[in-house]
Amino acid sequence: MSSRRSFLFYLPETSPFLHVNAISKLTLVLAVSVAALSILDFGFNLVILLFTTALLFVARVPLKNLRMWLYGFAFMLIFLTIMYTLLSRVPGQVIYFTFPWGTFISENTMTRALSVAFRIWSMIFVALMFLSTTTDTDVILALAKLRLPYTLCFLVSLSLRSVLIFSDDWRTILEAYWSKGVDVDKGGLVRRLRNYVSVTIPLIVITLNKVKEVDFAAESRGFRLGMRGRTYIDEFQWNPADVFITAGSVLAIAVVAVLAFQGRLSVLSIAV
Amino acid sequence: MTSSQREIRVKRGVTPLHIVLTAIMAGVLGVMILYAAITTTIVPGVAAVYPATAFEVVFGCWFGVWGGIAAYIGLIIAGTYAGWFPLPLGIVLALSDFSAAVIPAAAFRLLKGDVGLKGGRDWAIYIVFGIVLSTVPGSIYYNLINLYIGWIPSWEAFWVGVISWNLGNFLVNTIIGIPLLKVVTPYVKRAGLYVEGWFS
Repeated sequence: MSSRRSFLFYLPETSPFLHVNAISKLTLVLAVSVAALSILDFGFNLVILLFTTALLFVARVPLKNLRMWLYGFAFMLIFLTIMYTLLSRVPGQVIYFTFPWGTFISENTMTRALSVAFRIWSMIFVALMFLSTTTDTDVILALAKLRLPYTLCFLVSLSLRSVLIFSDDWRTILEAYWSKGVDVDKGGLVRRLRNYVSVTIPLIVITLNKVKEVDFAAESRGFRLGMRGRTYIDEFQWNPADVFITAGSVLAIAVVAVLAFQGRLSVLSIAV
Repeated sequence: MTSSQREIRVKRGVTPLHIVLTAIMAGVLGVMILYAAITTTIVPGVAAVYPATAFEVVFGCWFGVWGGIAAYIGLIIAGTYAGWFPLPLGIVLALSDFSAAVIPAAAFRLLKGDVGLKGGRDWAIYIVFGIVLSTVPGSIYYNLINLYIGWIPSWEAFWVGVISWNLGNFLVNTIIGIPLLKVVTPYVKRAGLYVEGWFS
């Protein structure tokens, strides 16, 4: 089965979201984020989380590739539970325990902690769907379609590519240290920070050399500030699915905005 | 005067080099943020020891506002990639890292200090604006947003987040920032990449 490389990993060509343009997907990310941030309610936030989880399945994102993020989810749940137990003042009918510093545990404390976790994770899952089904070329085409200046498109594109390039350089430098028997992760905090300096100085020197090379390459290919009329080898396309996703997302944002305007919900719910 | 020094004086104004420099530094910061092995957390969403801050401060000193933009983009990319925050929230939160780079950049440019830390005055500027004050506004801003979205449960947790953030950053800006400025600044200047003013 053929696959395509996105920002995060290879995805099967059968993934429907690979054929959706980046503007539609970004509108969907925005709609989910606005909805998640607008209402802090256990049921509502759980529904949004389930919706974004379903999006990941529809996008055919391999579960094994999400291991790191799922660990993060578990870690965050533990952290939020501890924080809300020790340092929150969520009102409720029954106060189970009051701490000497004034915070307390009520019957609503854990529900609130879970709602916040669902809220954050629904936004992260939809962003994951975007990153795992989108290439840097898609983003550049979308930015160009939105008529943003080419300099900005170039800046974003080169930044995204640089992360991948310098990740390899970073690993090479670390491997060079390991091959000499130096483990930079050993020792106390100060020792490890000092080790960090010795690893990052070569990376910065490599980077500074590459800046001049890339600048020379870009300028020799005609890149200049404020350039207009740039053409692209790939074409930006609108399919029926794009129209459907964009229209649905804009509608969802509009509904939330109207409800917020009528005072029926606050755009950002303060948790304290 | 050497030919390379002559070249620096001739190239005034914003050039494509600044855009390339910003994009590549954003990529490097992204790598530093992603692979910072010593990132530890005290309150959710806030790293107490976050070595990438030192690079943001140093990049601000070297590259002025471009360093701030690199810090901003670097955090958005790395944070979204690592699942620390969703993309729309990252666009708002990353202003904290922009301010961490721009505060020392502004101090060195307004007070006419040497980022190579040559004299007592340069040291004083770096200690006050690079180590102590650089991350204070950003830490308050970032934690305040986290408090509003419920990521941080109360004002008690907010202050724990702000204080641990700044203590951790004092440490990394001292241990990492000072050697970087002392050792790499001459190289940055020789390479013609040092940004004397705010943008050029």
